[in-house]
Amino acid sequence: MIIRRYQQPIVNYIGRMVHERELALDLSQDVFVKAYAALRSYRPQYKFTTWLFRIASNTVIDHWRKKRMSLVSLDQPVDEDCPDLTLQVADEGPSVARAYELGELRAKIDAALAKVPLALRELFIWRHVNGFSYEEMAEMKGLPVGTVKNRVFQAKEMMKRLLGEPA
Amino acid sequence: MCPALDSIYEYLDGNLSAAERAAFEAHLAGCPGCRAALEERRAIAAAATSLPSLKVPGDFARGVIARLSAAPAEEAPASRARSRRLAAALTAVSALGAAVIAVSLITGNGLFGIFLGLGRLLQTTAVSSSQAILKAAKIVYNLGRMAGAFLSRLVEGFRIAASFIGPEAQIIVVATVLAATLIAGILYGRKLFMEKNHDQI
Repeated sequence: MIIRRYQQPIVNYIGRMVHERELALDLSQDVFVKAYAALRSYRPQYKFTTWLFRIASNTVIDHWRKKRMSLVSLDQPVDEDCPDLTLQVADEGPSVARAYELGELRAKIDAALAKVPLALRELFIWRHVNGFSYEEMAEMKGLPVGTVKNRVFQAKEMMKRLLGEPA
Repeated sequence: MCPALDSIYEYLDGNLSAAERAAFEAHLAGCPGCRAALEERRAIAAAATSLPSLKVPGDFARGVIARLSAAPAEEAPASRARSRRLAAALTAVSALGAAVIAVSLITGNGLFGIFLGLGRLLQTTAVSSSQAILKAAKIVYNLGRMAGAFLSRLVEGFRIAASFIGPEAQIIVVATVLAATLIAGILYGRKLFMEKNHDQI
């Protein structure tokens, strides 16, 4: 059954986007209802997973719009000239990896994700939590692969900076 | 000179060519700063990739199915579109019937006369169309002839039926059937319209 097969990755994605369990489950169920209603629009030449996650992404966007969140929107362009990407390695700050154990680092990452702008957070989650390739993410967002890759790098650098900040 | 950070990420993703990877690793061997930067990002990526899954309750799928059952209009948009087409067809047939009755009343001809005329017109059209189409496709011609024969039988049926009842009775019978169809079409269309508005709320 489609729901049982995809419920875990969808809940993982939405749960880490909204950071609220009940809301995440509610939105995730919405995703499957919408997918069922839109099944006729699915074209087999596309991967079902990317089609489903596009619906999930739109569901999260709709949620933020209804909430009128003042955060950077999921579909808003991100500054491609982020200074993080031109930063040279010599400018490294304190080591996060050495400061925390793996379990502690996971908890820190979960907390830091909430502070990352939505557009970058989504790509970070897709890449690391859902394990999508850059090509799949590009298809889901309708963006060039290079743009997606740059944004994922930005997200990672932002995460590293947030992890290095005092709690 | 140390490489840009995106090279570290490309290296971790395994996207560098063999030559680029060799050059990068050669740089790493002599640069403790870049080694530390690489390990830092490798550790963060490993932690992020191994984040625990969120717990999904056992009745999650049942909840989705319950929502689908609670919203049948959203569940089957295709069947709703078919229903709308059916309602439109019912209304069109009713309107055509009403027009036939009006012509009957205005001209003073019985319904049989009008149906007979319509039948002959359709029969003539079908046969002449068939003959024209025969030049292009014999199959279509045969279908036309079959349609013509069917209409002939239909007209004959009307003739026999009409011989038992007078013109007034014909009007009453047909008008009753058409009025019922028209009312059903209007009521069904109204129901669908209200459902559509409800969905938009």
